[in-house]
Amino acid sequence: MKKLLWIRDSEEFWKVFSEEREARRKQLRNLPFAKKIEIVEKMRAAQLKEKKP
Amino acid sequence: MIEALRTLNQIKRTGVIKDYAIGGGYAANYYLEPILTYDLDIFVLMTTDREYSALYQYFRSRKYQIRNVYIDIGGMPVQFLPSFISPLIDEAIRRAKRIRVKGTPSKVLTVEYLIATLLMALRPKDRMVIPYLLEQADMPLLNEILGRFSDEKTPLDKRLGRILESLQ
Repeated sequence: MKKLLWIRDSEEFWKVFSEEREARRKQLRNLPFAKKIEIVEKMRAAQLKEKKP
Repeated sequence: MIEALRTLNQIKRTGVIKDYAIGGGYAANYYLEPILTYDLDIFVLMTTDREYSALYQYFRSRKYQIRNVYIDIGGMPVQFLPSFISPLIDEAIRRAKRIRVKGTPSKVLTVEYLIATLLMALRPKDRMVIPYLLEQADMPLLNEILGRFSDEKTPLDKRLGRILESLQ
């Protein structure tokens, strides 16, 4: 992430950005299903709370 | 979610449903990074609409809250999709992967059948998630499934073809 702050070239920025995002996706994808459910339920609760008037 | 699975296992034991498997957004979550999902799609193995009515009757008699097609199980809206609406769903449940979630046994559609069922519905959110699921799919197996279950009304193979074209 820090690396991105120092990149000035746009093409290089998006290349590193995509690589880091892909690495994060892979990391999250490999979490146990129960842990993913916990994360989804937290997201769901936050969204439903936001929707309430 | 876990409470819903425990309830489903209980219903399976009573014989109201023969078998079930997790589909939709939660199944996508099994294979991918966490994605916001509001409801739980459960594919249930049943051959007649009488069995489907019996399932809803089971929940009604136990005072579960029913909103439209959703049954609230422990705060989770659960939608039941019966296998008699499509032979693809029937096969998808029978070939689903056995899993355990915090010790609770359950079944989730395999990634190939999940993609096939998403291609049936093909909502905008399904179009978004299918390319990521394809990364984990056995393509010859997926093509074989789509070949058998595609027809003029639901051309699953052509739908996948259009998605693949859009990725190039």
